[in-house]
Amino acid sequence: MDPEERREFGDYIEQCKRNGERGSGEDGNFTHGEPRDKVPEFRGEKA
Amino acid sequence: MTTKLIDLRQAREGAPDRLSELQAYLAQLVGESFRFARISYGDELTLHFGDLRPARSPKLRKQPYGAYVLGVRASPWLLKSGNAPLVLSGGIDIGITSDFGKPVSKEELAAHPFVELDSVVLRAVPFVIKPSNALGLQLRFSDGSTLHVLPSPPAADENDEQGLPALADWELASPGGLLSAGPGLVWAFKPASSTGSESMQTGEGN
Repeated sequence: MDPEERREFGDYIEQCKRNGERGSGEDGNFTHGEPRDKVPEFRGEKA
Repeated sequence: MTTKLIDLRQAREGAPDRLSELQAYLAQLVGESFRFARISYGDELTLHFGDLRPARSPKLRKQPYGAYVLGVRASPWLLKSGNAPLVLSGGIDIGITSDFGKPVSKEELAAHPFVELDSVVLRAVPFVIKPSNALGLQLRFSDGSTLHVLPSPPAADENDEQGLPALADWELASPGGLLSAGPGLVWAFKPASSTGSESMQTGEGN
């Protein structure tokens, strides 16, 4: 990921949280490898 | 009057005074208009400046991005509003007792960032924070607002956890590339043409 995509990906994770998705971390945060698992859908490679 | 050209496209050997070089790279932010603030992943405060562009990701169609994005990463910050007698702090201990002041949600901050929209950046100045040996940053806006980014030293085990690379204390993404500062007194500029690869310009803030 280049810096621009990395920043957008961070915002996408926040958007997912606002939409009710929960990670396994404290307060529903995405932790460890969870954000990585969301890269394909972020890039539109997965429905 | 001396005129200077700061070339963001190619590598240069740093001058002995690296802090002034860092300030030179920050000069690209001066004159840019503040557009909005957004809280990003990890509760990072980001400030967007300049022309707006759509997101590259199809998943973020409704989210604009400034041509210049200042991210304070995990650093404490202090924002003094120029248009209201208000001070906002994030992650900083300035001796305020917990029952003084009120929490501000991410949504409130994004909706009302306390800096007048389209205020222009007048100054962007890095400085050394002596006790923590870190690079701070001060922004001054045309509406009288000021932002201070005040990195604190990382906890001993913070960066070793999971073998993750150390986070920069703050960074400025721009059409020219990525300027990142910290941890410590190091900083780097990577031109856009080499993003993700080795840094082209590095220095220490002494």
